[in-house]
Amino acid sequence: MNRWIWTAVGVAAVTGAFFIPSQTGSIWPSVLLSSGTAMVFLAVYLLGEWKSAAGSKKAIGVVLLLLMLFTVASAAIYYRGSLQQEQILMDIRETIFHGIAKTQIQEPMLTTLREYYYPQDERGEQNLQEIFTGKYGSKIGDDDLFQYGQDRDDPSPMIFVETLEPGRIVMVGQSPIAKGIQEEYQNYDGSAGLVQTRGVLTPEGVRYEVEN
Amino acid sequence: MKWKTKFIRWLPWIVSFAVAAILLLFLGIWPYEIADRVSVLESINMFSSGTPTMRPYWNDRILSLVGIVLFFVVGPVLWFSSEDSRPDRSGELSNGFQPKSLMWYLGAILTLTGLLFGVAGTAFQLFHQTNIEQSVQRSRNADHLRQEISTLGLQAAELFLLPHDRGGGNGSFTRIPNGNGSFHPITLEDLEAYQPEQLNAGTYHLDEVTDSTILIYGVGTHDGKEPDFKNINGETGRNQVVVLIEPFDKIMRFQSQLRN
Repeated sequence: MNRWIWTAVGVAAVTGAFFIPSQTGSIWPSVLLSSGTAMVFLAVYLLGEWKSAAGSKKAIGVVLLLLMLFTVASAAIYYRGSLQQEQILMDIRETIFHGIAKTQIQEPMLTTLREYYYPQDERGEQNLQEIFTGKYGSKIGDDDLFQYGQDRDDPSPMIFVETLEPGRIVMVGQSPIAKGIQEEYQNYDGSAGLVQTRGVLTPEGVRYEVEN
Repeated sequence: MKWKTKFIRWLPWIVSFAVAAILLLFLGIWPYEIADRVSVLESINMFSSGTPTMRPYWNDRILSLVGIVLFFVVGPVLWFSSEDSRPDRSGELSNGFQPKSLMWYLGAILTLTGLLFGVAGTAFQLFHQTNIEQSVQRSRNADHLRQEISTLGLQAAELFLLPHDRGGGNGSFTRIPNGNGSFHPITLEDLEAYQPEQLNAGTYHLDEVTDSTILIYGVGTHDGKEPDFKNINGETGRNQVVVLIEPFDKIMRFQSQLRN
């Protein structure tokens, strides 16, 4: 078969394969599918032309086989690296959430507990609700969102004050992005499947747990 | 001379290889490198906003397609089909040189550039990913150390604040009740979260226990930034984080000057 016909067939097949997957989102499906098509094309081409080849043409054939080998290796390694990178960033996101949520829930609770047992306030003994509201009431929005030092436009993580009672305060921390253990878990704000933690303050102390 | 004749015969290959090596330095159309770059951008977007941007990145897509077409279709077909396969070498000049067509050179250069990208790209990525993996493990260990030591530190602060009848120090780290009317200075074993078999990031040590403050050291399982750093437990070069617990002040503060 004429070289230009082979070239045209190869270009058409590879280009067609490239545009089969959706062109929004990850680029990898297009690149991998068209690369795979190119490898199949090369294999068919070599098989078709090999019988009539002699001498140095066969040497070129060997180089083409090496090209295919290293291409497959390169594609696999780069693709694996991309997936790892994605996972690393998600892990970092989750770690940041847990660190911030723990601090933003437990520190106000311990400060409240400190004031409860060692009152500095002139009013003397107050219950947990009175102390917490006195210290942090201005930071609680109508939607229960607790703005402990972060910008309202970037509440990451989101901390909610779920319960404010004289003997019990409950705060919930929820990541806006990081996925939790269970996909179907119902989060505090109505989302599903996101990381969520809960802190409970009573006169006995603070209980903190990861709920999802 | 025989070697001279052989060299001249292989000269077109050598020239093509040299040009391919130069192109390797300046051409940025290896499709997998392009795809990796776009993936990193999307991952960063996901990290920041939580949702993928759904941008098509047309320039990068077209560039990667061009790379695939040139390296794996056009180059190989032109090169293979342009090579003279006559076994009698009737096309050779008297000095052994066999003239090659422009299509031969174009095909050879494209194919060899693709091969060099494949070889160099594979080697570089393997090396790069190994380094990243080591760095990630170190950082991951440091992050887990911080998480675990935060849990211990906050519990220690709680124990400090609780009154004696609730098992706490009643405002002191040195008067934790034994349950029989006597007291002892706080130890890590007094903390519910101190379960050594479950604390995977490293080992923890209490130091400088005073009435109002304690230092908790965490020594990790991976190496830290400085290989000569003397860890609190006698090891050298490991990750180390330290928190100062001062419940009547800022409750918990990380001590950067004592970390590795």
